[in-house]
Amino acid sequence: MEIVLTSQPEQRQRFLSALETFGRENRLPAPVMQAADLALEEHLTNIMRYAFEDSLPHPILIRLTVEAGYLRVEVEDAGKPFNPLASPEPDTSVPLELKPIGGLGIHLIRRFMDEVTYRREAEKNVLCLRKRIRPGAEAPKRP
Amino acid sequence: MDSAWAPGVQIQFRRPNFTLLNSRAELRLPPPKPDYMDIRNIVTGDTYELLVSGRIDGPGANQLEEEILKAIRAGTKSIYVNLSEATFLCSAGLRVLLQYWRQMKNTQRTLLATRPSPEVDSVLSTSGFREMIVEKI
Repeated sequence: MEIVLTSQPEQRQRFLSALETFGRENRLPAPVMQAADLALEEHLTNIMRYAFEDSLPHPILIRLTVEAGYLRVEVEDAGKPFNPLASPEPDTSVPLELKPIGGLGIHLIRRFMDEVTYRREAEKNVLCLRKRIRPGAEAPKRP
Repeated sequence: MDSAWAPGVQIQFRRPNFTLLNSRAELRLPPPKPDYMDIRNIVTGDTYELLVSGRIDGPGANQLEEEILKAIRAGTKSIYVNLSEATFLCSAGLRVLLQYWRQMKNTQRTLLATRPSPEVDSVLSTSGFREMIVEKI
């Protein structure tokens, strides 16, 4: 399934409905849907905040595929080059009182999805996320 | 018991079975929009309980922050963010909780999350902040 959103917050409801429909039609287990939902929320927010200099609507393409026991989610945007994976993992051993709050979004994407890859292709940022589909899939990896 | 106007006649009052209509389907309400979020505020003295229902996404986090700020401006000593009915939590919501947990703590007051739903709990655990901001029962 492919869906094109513009980088405007109002498109959110339409997208969430489409995601839910896709999950239902493909009988994806709840933990898989939860992971995709969260990863997309984080990444789309990042795109809308950082990828574009202006506030014009920019199309973002989201492609959902079920293949070989995995859910694959690809997000393409034509914003400026931005590799979310270049951010360092937060150090969970640092005392919580002293930890800065940044970097949480990427951390969550990495923990909830099994594979996260980024490429820059034809003036587009392409983030590819994959999650293994297991019946009764267990909780995401603990820090 | 005897009826006053017809002594000797037993009148049985049958209490109807009240089933709690807490289901939108039973009330025949349409399903809420996918990004539905609602915050109810229950004040007991110096304590505010913010009962959050629905999706704490980007806009939801802003709304949560508004409610927390209102509570702080009202001079509350303790804020409990009840997440039992929250269906989703992302980093934006988590940041709001962390920021105000820290701010309240620095002023000898309290903000804690309570009773996270399973979906929210998995996000809190994965973030590494669960033990810090969830109320210990």
